[in-house]
Amino acid sequence: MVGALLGLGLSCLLLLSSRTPVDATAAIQAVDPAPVVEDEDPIEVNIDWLTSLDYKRGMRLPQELLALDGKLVTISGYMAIGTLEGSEMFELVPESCECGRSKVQHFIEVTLTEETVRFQPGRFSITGIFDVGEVEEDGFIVSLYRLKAPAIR
Amino acid sequence: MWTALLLVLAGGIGQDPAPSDEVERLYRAATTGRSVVRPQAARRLVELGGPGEARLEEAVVEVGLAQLGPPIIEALGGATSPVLREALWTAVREPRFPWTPSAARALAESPSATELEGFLALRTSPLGEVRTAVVVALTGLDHPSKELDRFLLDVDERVRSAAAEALAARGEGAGFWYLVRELQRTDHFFERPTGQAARGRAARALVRLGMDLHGLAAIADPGTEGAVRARKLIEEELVARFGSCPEWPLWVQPGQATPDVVLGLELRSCTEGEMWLRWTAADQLLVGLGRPAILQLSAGTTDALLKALGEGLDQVGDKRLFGVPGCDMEQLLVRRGSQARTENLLLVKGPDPVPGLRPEPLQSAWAAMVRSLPEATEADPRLAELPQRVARILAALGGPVGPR
Repeated sequence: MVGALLGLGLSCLLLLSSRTPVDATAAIQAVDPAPVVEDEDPIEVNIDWLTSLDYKRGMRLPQELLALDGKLVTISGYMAIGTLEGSEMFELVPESCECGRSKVQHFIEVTLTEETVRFQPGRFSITGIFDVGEVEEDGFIVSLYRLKAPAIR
Repeated sequence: MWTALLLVLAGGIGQDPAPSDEVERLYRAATTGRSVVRPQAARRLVELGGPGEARLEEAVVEVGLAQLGPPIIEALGGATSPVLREALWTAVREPRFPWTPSAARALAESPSATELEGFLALRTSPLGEVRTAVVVALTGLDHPSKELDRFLLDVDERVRSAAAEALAARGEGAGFWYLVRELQRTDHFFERPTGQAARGRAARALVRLGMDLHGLAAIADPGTEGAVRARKLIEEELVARFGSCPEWPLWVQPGQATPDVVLGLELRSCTEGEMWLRWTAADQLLVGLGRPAILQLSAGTTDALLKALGEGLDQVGDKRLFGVPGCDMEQLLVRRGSQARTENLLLVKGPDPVPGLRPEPLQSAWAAMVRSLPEATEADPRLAELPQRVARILAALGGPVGPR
């Protein structure tokens, strides 16, 4: 019996050590990005390109995406309908109607640092520091893309 | 060691099912959690197998599939329960079901040969997303290419793109040609760069299919020397491999820069379908996205519409979003006066009618827009019964517009 239990423990260790480790590239990140890099032209990033990523949890994100982490970028899109006015955050989405699309790669989570949100229905551009990587809460990934910007101009 | 391993496996067979509190946690997260959490929770609930599916079966009986919402409905594509499968089929056949695209996508995820007739019956759905799911299902069922080919003539580019990728994956030239032609698109819907988005999607599809794009940066300007050269090389390879590009009707052609639009309606109904209309300063009516059908209206039509709208918008005031987000959207886009900037006004709702959603001051302008739609005689399917279809979609969205 003791031998079986020891064998059980050893087997568990062997099984655990043989699992392919989750790639650390898309590991959980802290939310606060690096500060603004001055004298840098923003990089224009296409929202359709970001939001059409064929994403799976824990995957290695494309290098061209990771290269944008911490950079000053400009992205054009729409404020998600249902955005709460007066908050600091909203979701930036590629189309006015995001009917039925609510996966983590379908939006950029924008945080405004100098003003609060006022819903605007049309397309606009916003410039800020981009942050990419999985953020997890209660076992769920709640964002993949984040942008910290002073305001919507 | 092997004995111990066998003991582990034997222990696993008699293992307790997932704790019921985990099932409830996932169910709550899938139905009332943050919108980004719901699809993940729904998938995990289904992945629990028996206990998760049993909870979902209960929920379908208690509240109905529609109430469970798109994240759960789509996750049911991974379920094995015949009860849940049947609930999906009942939903897609129900004309007033609000989440038909989600149900269709779920069914298409794991189609079975016995469901072929069911999928074929959905080919005539008014919803482009449903027809796209049909393409996915038929591809999964290894349906003949000559049948998939017909979807390349669909009026909806999502359907055409799905068919193109499926055909190309089978080595069919028509599929490759469709995707390569998409690389030329330069169209917009007002500020939305629909052509650029299409170029990006087509390029990704072609790369997945193993094509060399010769350095083409698909989302950059397709008119640059480098882009033109890359596309020429790609097309030469296609000609060598498959012969010349098939001849396709106008609505399948790649979109180009559109005339000077000043007024538009974007209509998305979860039951009646979608419509994109634009009016230009030169009294042209554009119907559809990509390469729209263009009809010449009588002189002064657009000015009259803008005048009616201006009066209505002045009475409405500054508010530009009406209703509560759901599966339906009615959007007005207008460029007034000398401003190039577009004003947007949105009506949003769920599947049920919302009396008074469209502000009364706007009703006469909307009626005028519907009256401006001609009974076209062209063979373009986007123009078939145009005024009637638009009136029907508007009635399902902001409400009836009034007699023609």
